[in-house]
Amino acid sequence: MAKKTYEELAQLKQDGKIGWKQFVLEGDDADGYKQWCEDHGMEPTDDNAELYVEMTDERMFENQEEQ
Amino acid sequence: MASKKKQEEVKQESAPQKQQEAATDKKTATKKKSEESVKDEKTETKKVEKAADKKEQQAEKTPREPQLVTVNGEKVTHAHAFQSNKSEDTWYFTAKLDGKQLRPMKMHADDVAAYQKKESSIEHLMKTYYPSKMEPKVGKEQYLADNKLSDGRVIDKMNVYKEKDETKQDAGKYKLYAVVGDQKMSTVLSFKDLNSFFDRVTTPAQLVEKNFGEKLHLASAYAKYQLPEGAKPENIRIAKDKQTDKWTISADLGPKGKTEKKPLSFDDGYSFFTAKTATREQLAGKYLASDIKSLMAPKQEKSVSMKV
Repeated sequence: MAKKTYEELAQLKQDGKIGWKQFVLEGDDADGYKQWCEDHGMEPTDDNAELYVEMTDERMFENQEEQ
Repeated sequence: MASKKKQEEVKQESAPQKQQEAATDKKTATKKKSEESVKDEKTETKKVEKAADKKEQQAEKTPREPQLVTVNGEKVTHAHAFQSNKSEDTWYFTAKLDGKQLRPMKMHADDVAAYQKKESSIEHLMKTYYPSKMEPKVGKEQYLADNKLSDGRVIDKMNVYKEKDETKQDAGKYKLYAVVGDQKMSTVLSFKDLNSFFDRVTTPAQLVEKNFGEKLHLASAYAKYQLPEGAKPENIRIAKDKQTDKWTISADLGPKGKTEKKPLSFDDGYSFFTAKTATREQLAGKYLASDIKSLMAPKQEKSVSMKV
């Protein structure tokens, strides 16, 4: 299966077709996220994926600025 | 004999021919050499150009000299402030940590002014906007192992989540949820605690103890409160209010006056009467500090002046 681009994933997330967990796990920083979860003794969830994205993804800032 | 002469002639003939050949060879050699040297020069020039290109490419690829190295050995580069696209009064600070872009943080006005005057340091800005990146990380093993509270109880569950219920006042805020025995608790996390959790510069026990210490009736939660200066333990009264049937705390400072009666929360009452982890003095510090301070302050005598 072809890897989805950030824009495609963002669109799917916005349309409610995927959750935060899938958004991160299918993105470029999946390994960083999995490592962060492991270091904190957590299983990947939508809750911690959302926090991970907000704390690390500078594109979230750009979107926020545009709003 | 004739053949010998012929041979000699041949020999004689061959000498100039050889000389010519030699000359030609030399010429060719020189030409070759000069061609080669031109070629060499060209190659050399190309090599130099290539080397310069490579150097340039390397310079592009070579990581920048860090502006700062954190206690965790992470390198801070590209630290700078920039103006918002939306509002010219809004400025953000950002940097890269080990090559990874950090999320821009909105700056305080005084930091913007200092930055524009080149009076601020990267260390100060990093400590202000990314405090947890500048603190030493807790080891992974230590983080996972530190789930015991100071009274020996164990944290059964802890997680951080964003409040999704739009009807709640704290909707959209990150909260800490913890389960200790049969107690389930949640509270809004401060910016500092959220970042400390994210960057693993704290442990589950420290986070739970700090955020739910009073709910869990831990002695450590009350250690920060002290009896206000000037008051004595015998001045503090904890009694049940007859009208409301609730436990209250107040201070009688004799000639200085009395404070209002303040109702104790259930958890503070439990900590004082049952768990005995909070003292009368500490509760006075929590509930009556400002009241006692104003009673102890020298009263300004009303002076009446009359124009004569």
